[in-house]
Amino acid sequence: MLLGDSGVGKTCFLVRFKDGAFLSGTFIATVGIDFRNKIVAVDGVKVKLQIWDTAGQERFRSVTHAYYRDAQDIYIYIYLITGYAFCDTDRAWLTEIHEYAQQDVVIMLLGNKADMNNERVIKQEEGEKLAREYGVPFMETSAKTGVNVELAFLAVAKELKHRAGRQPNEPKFRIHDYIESQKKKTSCCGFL
Amino acid sequence: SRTPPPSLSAQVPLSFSLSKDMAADVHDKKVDWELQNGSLAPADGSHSERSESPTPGLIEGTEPGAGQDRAMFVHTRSYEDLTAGGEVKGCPQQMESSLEGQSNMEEINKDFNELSTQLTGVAMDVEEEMESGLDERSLSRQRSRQDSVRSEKEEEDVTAESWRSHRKHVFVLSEAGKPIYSRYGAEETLSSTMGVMMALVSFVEAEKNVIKSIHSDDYKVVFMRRSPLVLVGVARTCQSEQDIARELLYIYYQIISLLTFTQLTRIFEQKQNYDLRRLLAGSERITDNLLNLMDQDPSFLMSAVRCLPLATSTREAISSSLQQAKAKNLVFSILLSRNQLVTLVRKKDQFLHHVDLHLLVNLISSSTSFREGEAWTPICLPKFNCNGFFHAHISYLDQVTDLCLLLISTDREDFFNISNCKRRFLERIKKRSTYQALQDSLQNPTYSCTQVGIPDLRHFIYKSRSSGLFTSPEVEAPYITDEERERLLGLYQYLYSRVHNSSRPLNFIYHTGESENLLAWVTSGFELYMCFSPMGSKAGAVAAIGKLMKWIRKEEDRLFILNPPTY
Amino acid sequence: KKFLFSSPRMATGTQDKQYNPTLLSFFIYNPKFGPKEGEEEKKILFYHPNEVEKNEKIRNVGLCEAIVQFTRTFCPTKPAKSLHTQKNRQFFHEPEENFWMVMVVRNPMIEKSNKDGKPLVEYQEEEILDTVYNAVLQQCYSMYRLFNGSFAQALETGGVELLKQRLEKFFYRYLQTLHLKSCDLLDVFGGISFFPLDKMTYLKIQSFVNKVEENLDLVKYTSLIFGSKDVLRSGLEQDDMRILYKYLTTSLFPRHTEPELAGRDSPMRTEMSGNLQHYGRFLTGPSNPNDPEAKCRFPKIFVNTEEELHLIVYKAMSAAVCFMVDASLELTRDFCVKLNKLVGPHLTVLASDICEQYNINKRLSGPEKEPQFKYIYFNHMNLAEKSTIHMRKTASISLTSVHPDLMKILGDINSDFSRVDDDEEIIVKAMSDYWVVGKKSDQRELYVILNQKNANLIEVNEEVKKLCATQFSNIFFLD
Repeated sequence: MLLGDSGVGKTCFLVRFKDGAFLSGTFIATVGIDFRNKIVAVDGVKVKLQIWDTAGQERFRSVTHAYYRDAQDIYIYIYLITGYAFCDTDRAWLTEIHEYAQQDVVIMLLGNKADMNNERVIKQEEGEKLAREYGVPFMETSAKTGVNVELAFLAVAKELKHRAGRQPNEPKFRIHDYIESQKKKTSCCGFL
Repeated sequence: SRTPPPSLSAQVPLSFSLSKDMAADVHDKKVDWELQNGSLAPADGSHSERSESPTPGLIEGTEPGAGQDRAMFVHTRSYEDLTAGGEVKGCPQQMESSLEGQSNMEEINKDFNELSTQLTGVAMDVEEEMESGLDERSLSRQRSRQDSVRSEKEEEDVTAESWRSHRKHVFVLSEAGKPIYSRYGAEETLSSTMGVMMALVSFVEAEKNVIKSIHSDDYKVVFMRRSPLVLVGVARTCQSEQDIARELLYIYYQIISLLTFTQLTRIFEQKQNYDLRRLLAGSERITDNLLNLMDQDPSFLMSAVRCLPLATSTREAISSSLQQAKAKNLVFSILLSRNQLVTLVRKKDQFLHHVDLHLLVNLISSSTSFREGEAWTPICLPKFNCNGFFHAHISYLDQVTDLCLLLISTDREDFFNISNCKRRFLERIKKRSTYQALQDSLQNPTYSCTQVGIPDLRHFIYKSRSSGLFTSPEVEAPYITDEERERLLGLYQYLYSRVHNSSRPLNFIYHTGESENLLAWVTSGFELYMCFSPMGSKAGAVAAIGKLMKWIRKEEDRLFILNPPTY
Repeated sequence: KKFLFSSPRMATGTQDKQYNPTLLSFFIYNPKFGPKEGEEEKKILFYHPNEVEKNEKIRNVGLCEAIVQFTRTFCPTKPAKSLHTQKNRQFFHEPEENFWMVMVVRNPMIEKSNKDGKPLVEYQEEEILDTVYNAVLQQCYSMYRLFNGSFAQALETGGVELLKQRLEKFFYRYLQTLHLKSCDLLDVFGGISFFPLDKMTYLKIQSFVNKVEENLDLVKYTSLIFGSKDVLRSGLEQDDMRILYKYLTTSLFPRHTEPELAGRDSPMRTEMSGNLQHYGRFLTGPSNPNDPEAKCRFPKIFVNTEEELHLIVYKAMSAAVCFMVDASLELTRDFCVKLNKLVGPHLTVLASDICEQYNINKRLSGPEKEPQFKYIYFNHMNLAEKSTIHMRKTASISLTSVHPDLMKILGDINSDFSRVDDDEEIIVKAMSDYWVVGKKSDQRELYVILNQKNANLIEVNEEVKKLCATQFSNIFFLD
């Protein structure tokens, strides 16, 4: 489930992931939620992701709450690096997810619009700090250039796959470590 | 060949468990009488007085087909189910089995106490399953499921016109918007559609309101919330909203019958995003079959049970043989042939609800595997008690005539005992040549409408309201093709929805059309639905009512079970 | 929750309060006008009640859009027409491409006080008939269009702002005249009551129209109505006449009944204006054309999709005449004076002639006694409608002589008829023991309610046959 304030580019993020194909089956503006499916191959196994995109507007809060309470496996919270500094809403979102969602859910923090480095307001370190505070993995992405978008979903898919079919002697998949190892590579290529 | 206990029948590969607190649960529940006066007539005073009818009405309990001693079924109309609010707390209908009152409750509680103690120790716990992720068993189950049963559904393109144009879609989803069942197309491909359904439900709920249905020019979408499930029907049929809701409710009960209400609730209490398909894997076929059956068999519409026409002496001999083949934990012995009831013997003061019997009928007709040997399977009878499992011994006595014996026990370890009952029953009826008489009757399991001797009468349904039984002749020309048969059922659905309209019920309806003339007449004692050729006149129809009623009275011994036996 | 079998009126106990269906909201939107996130408000062209908070408006419009979109999953060409919820029903209508009109009607409800004295509200979800309210919603559009032209026309002329203005101006008043509890089967038909004309009267009317149109060459169309309800001459295309008729009979005429009644009671009353011996006066336009200060402004209407006209309604005694003049022409006071002088006396004479004919007809049909049956007749081909069930029907009052539940049964039968094109007949006996008969034959529908509770099916059939023979002898009904 994608969460975040209005205008941070959640939908663009998803569209990017869907190979740029824009689907107009939009319920997001009407009832505050939209649904996309995507199949990701992880180590030769196909993982079906059902991605729930939520509207950021205040008026949908009561509705989206009904969904993410206990209901989902993975939450991706997106903020805008070009937006205002971290504010109470961001913390409120993260706290809420923590509070309502189940213990074993995965939460991921993404700073979007990494392509607009010169308009940046929130430093990468600040994002990292916030992520540490809540104990969640973090990366910066760009829905425009596609940097780290695929990675975010791939990490999610890997996590799910490991959960579903973990053998007793197999080591636990660590989404933090995986993202750390992968994103450096991506950002090297992405920014150089 | 025998299927030794306690392994489950292959077709119902369910994990099952009863919570430890179930016994306490049962104790706490008060008996919630759905029906006080035993009458199906609207409880409202203004409607209880029936009109003078075209022919003299019959008081409930004296109409043809009414049981002489006491009713066989708990006969309820499920309006309460249909109109109950979104929140279902505890069991929707508690223990409506006894009409005697508190004293019997103790006995039932005791039975279930024993049952639950026996089950808690051994049964696989869902919790464990969820903690360990997908275990070996469920993984292999899923695989085999994908390989065989589901292949047809998996392949259906849910964006194609052919998918859209199905006459009736049924979807089941969890309150987290996760797909649980779809009649057509694979659930995964419909996850967005089901997500939207849930979004609409929650959106309307956010306004402290409840979504009921959407109507377009040629279809209806009906929503039913039975926490923790949401059921949605999309129908292009002419059925009323209530009618579609009633079918959805059957699907809900079907799921309950596999899991129990307690377990279903607990699963979602523990993990709201649980994928229930894991537990229901393999049962899609049963649900598919139930939907197909409801499209053809008027039993579900009538909320009644159809009896196999049988000479009284034969039926009584069979009943008494079943009566004698009893066991301590045996609650119901049911003999069925081709979805018709041959006889039902029950424990004294225990009543079976027609919904539960319909679910049992569907269970055995949806699988061919019961045909081989003896099966022993846990089953919840949701109307009897939605929180516990019974154990059903299922065996076919004859393949050709689909003669099937169901022995329902409260004891999970009772397989050999119950199997012995079956053996004793068979020995007895074979010794007394009853079996041959039954076999002979099964050669002609139905009767023709022409026997009544009314030239313009094509078909009819007569339901005795007090016994909850109905009779109906074979469907004959011109309703030969499947399409025509469904059309005939559609006509009955239309009549039923008009006479039983929730805010404007009718006593009587006569419909003249180009293809047939229809009639429906409802009194406090019976319901009569008749289909005439379009050439028939009204005077002819009025005369036909009298003639048919006389005929049914004359034949009632054969058409109905007038002396419901107990152990 | 207990299920309610009976009708609301029957169930009311001493403490129960019954609430009729009411209009909760009414809005018009175009999803193409604000497709981007954050621009949703732009979609909304009209919203009643206007006081509703912006986000709530957007949410409610959003739900409708979502419902329509969702139902396209199952049939792209036939999206939702209504949404039923526990508390209300929402009706959707797309009269012009992408323009959606939504009417939200609260279900009737009963307020009961339970044991501890707390009020307990029970919604009666099955009391409202979809067909009736879908028709009411469509009527809303037709009425708007009669006075304003199409949405697209307004958009073309003055953009979204003009359209919004027109919608606001029209619906602000129109919605106040919607009385949802009195809507019934007649709203589904939207028919016209025709006066049964003999040859002589027909010729008199024809000669009247010829004379007027000859002398007032500006007049393009002429319609004549007698007794504030029976059409003598239509003059317009059916669909235009139907909505104009609706406007005249439910809105304009009821507002002007009082002086007319006085006129009939005292034929010697003094002339209202001028000294001519006639009773003519304008119902639209100047109240006294001879007053030099009089303003000669008439309402404009749109017929034949794009044609804009002045609507002049002129009445003398029980006869009313509508003259329609091209809107591009300016109507002067001289024209009004001329019209008054010419039409006044002629219409007065015509009115008394028709009145005489009316009385003869009445005498012929025998002395009035309470008949054993009441009926509604409607012909889809010429929109002819006749009801002996309704004593009076205006926008606010529907005075029927039968129980509302029986009216709803008529509505149920009507929706059964609309499922197939075949000829059909349905006879039912209600729980109240009334017999209700519906017949459909070749585009005509007849509904009869019989008072003989103890009759049997055959007697009922005979009774209806008799009715058909006397009233509709020329129509073949399936027996």
